[in-house]
Amino acid sequence: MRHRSKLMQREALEGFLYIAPWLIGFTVFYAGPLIASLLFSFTSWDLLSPVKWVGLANYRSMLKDELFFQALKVTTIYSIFAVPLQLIVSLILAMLLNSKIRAISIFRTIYYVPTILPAVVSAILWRWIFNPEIGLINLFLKLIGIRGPEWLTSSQWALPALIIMSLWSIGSSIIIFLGGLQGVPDYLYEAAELDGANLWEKFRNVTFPMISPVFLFNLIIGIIDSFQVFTYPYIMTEGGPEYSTLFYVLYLYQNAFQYFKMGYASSLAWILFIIILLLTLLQTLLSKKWVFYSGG
Amino acid sequence: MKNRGIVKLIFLYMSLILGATLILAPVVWMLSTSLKDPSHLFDFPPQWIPNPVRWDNYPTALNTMNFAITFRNTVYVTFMEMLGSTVSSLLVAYGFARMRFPGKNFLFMLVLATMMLPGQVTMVPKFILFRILGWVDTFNPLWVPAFFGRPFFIFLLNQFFLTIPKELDEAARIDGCGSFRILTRILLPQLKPALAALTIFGFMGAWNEFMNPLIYINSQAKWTLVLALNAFQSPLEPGAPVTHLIMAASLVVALPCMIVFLLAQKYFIEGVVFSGMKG
Amino acid sequence: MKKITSGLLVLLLSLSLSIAFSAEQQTITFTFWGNPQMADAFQKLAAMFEKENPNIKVDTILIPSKYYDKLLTMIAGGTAPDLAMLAFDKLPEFVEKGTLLPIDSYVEKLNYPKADLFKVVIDSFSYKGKLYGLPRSFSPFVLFYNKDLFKTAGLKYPDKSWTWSEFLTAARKTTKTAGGKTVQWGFAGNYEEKGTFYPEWLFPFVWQNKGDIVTADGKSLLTSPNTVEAIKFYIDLIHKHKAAPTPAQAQTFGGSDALFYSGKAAMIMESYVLVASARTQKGLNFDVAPLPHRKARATVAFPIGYVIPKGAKNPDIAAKFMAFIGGPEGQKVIAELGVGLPGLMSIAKTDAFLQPGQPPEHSYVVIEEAGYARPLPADTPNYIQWYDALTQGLAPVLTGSKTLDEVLPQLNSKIEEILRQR
Repeated sequence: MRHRSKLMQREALEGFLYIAPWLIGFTVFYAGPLIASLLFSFTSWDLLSPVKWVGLANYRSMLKDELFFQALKVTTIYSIFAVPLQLIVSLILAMLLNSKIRAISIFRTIYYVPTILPAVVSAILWRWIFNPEIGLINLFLKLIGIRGPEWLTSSQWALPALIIMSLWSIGSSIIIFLGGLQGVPDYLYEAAELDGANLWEKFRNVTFPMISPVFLFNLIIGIIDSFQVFTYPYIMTEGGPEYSTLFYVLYLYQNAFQYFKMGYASSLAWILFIIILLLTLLQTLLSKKWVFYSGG
Repeated sequence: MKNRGIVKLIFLYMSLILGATLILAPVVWMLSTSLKDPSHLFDFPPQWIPNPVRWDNYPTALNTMNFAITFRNTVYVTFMEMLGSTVSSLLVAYGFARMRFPGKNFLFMLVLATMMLPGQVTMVPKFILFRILGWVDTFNPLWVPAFFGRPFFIFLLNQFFLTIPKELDEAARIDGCGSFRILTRILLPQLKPALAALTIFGFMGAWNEFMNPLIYINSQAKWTLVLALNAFQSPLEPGAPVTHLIMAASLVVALPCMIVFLLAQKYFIEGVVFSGMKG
Repeated sequence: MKKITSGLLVLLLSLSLSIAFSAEQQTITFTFWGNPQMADAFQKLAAMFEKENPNIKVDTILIPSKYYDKLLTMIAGGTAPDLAMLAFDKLPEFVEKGTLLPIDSYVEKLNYPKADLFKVVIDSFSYKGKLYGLPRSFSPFVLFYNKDLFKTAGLKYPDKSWTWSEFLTAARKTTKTAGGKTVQWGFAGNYEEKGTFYPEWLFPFVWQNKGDIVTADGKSLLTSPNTVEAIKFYIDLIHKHKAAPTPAQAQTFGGSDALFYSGKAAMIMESYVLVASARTQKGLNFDVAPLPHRKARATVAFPIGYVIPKGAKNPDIAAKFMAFIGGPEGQKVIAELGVGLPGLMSIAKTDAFLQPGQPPEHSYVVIEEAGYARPLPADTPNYIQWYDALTQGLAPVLTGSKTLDEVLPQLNSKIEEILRQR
């Protein structure tokens, strides 16, 4: 008994040693600003004049702020549609790009290009694609007899447009899925084929379980990222038309640096933090049901 | 049997090519715009093949960006960031994935949690912190924190660690390996795809970093490529159109990322050796 | 021993000398935004200033993007610059929060030619009776027109006599359709590349009709008859007379400016700064004219100037530098960049700004227009927020999915609500 606890103590010490860099870094560089932002959420601060303590006032105003609810609504709708879409498409593409055919590395590079393109360039491209008169999408819809909507200048279709656009930057999740796929041992597939498994069965019984840890990663990161979308709405629509693309972090940013309401922005940030944290905890708990850890 | 194989192959190639065309279209447009004469920037219908071809857009763009200096700065910062984040995140993730210690789950959640607070509200307190350290207008705020682990990399590596069976560790331990040896000799070789991902993300993240350099760097002599790129046209007022120069500059700045991507693929993903328990 | 002692002495001497020198030399920091040409211009001015003031060093800090994010962070973080460039619409907020130093006393002490400033510049940089900034430049809106398109349509070029009706006639006559689609518009509208429309472009028409949107004492006049009539005039150009594009149409061509550059629009109302880009479009024969008038003459101006934050470590030197770059010498250098009218009337009338021999031929028009220019009402409560609400609220009217009458009453109450907030 004593021997075991000594071993455990040693392992615990080793563990702390390995994570020490992060622990130290967190304490020095992050903990302070983190606590500061929490404190700011209880203040009214315009960045220029001294901080004023207001207690829960910011949180109370949030409940009366219709733009706050609009921002929550926009971001949640986006997340519900974009995350599953991104996961499915990036997984399919990763499987395609996992093929051992010639020039596959060139294809992989090409599919990663959108992630490297400057956001302003992607914005220009997509504005063209969504152009109501001559854009690719509406031209295609015209071919099958549908009159396409005004997309980015329409209050109903601007958000769907951004959801579709979110598929543009899945290069990173493709690479991560690719990494996971590469780690699936061939002999598992061979064994499955011997058992007479078809494509779907192979996927369900071999591929998916083996890449599930990586799938969880993309899922959690996908949720975290989707709730913090900022750049494209900022460049392309500025939250409009009629606030239909007022993403949460965009609204937060406006409060912080345009409306001189850093205190309110901080409270918005912490509410978002709690939402994302709860979602992540939920996903982590649920993951025990479907994630398979060969190393766990 | 062979027919099915060929059909699959054709289908595969066609879908990949379709997607690739869509993706390459903006790159072609960027290239075309980068060689245009500014008087043709607003032509409608747009010119796909520039006439006249202004090859001199490239030297002009590079000169305006002070390329030699900004390139050097960016390389320095990127190298330091990549080195720091890769090594530290590897060690930290190993600790989380393979060791047991009290509070591990809570701390791991904390790692994730640092990614959940929008940066806009920690920007000013962080700035004050670095000001107190005397690091304003230096490169330090950009790369020093990287040596203490990046949550995204820690989480990613953790997940990849968990796909490697623990039996490998145990076998090595029986052979008398300590934890560090297990990491370097046994686990690392199994992590090649993850390392490839780290290299690519690490490079791109540092190379294209915008907010941190913007806030912490004042002197133009310390600018990174991204800052120089953004300075071409101030959004706060119009001026003579410089889209052609911006496109040329953007392509030059994006090129190293492509190269790193190709190299990382070559050495990591392609180089997976099929031995041992994995495939 | 001797070597050590003499070594120490030398060290001591050089230390004290360097301390003595550093006490003499003082540095000020100046933040600004702009493209590389502007950076060069300010570096040149800094060098000129340093030459005349040998113990002063000027650190020019070009902020490449997100200017206010960085400026606010610098000030909040305790590293406020000594001098900062500022757009007039941010001035009221900054003053209200107690961030800026009034400069009236400096202006007097340094003998700055205040009387030579355009009135709109003084108004824009004053708040509650005190002056806070000196000008860099400002750009009133004027009417740009395509001479060739006017000639083809057999129309006389716009001039001072133009009222709204001549403007409308010309816009309709220079609009061309082909196969049911418009291929040329009389008026380019005022859309950004992404199709957004900002209400600033309505203000000239509203003021020309003796209406207003929000008054200086914070009341909304959005639904007053003169205002509604003016906004309706603008909207009708798009949907009734089809002489101006819808957001979607403009977006196709890359925005209203692009429409004008490519010769697809005969007229555009734009700030004078457009001249720099218009000149690069070979084959574009353009000129400028005063905006049309109705019950009054009016146009909008966007002055940009320099201010001294309270956290400045060397406000006196900053003021000296400010008076230099905002004074005749500095204004001349900036004028040559073509970023707008100099704030000083005498410099505006020089060739450095007017640049005869280059289009537009009637460049002096903008000097006259400057006399009718008014700044946007940035000194009203929660200006940025009500302006944003106005932008969002008018968007469906621009696309035509809602009419003005449907939208205005609700928009008016929303703006009133925002004005009341504190």
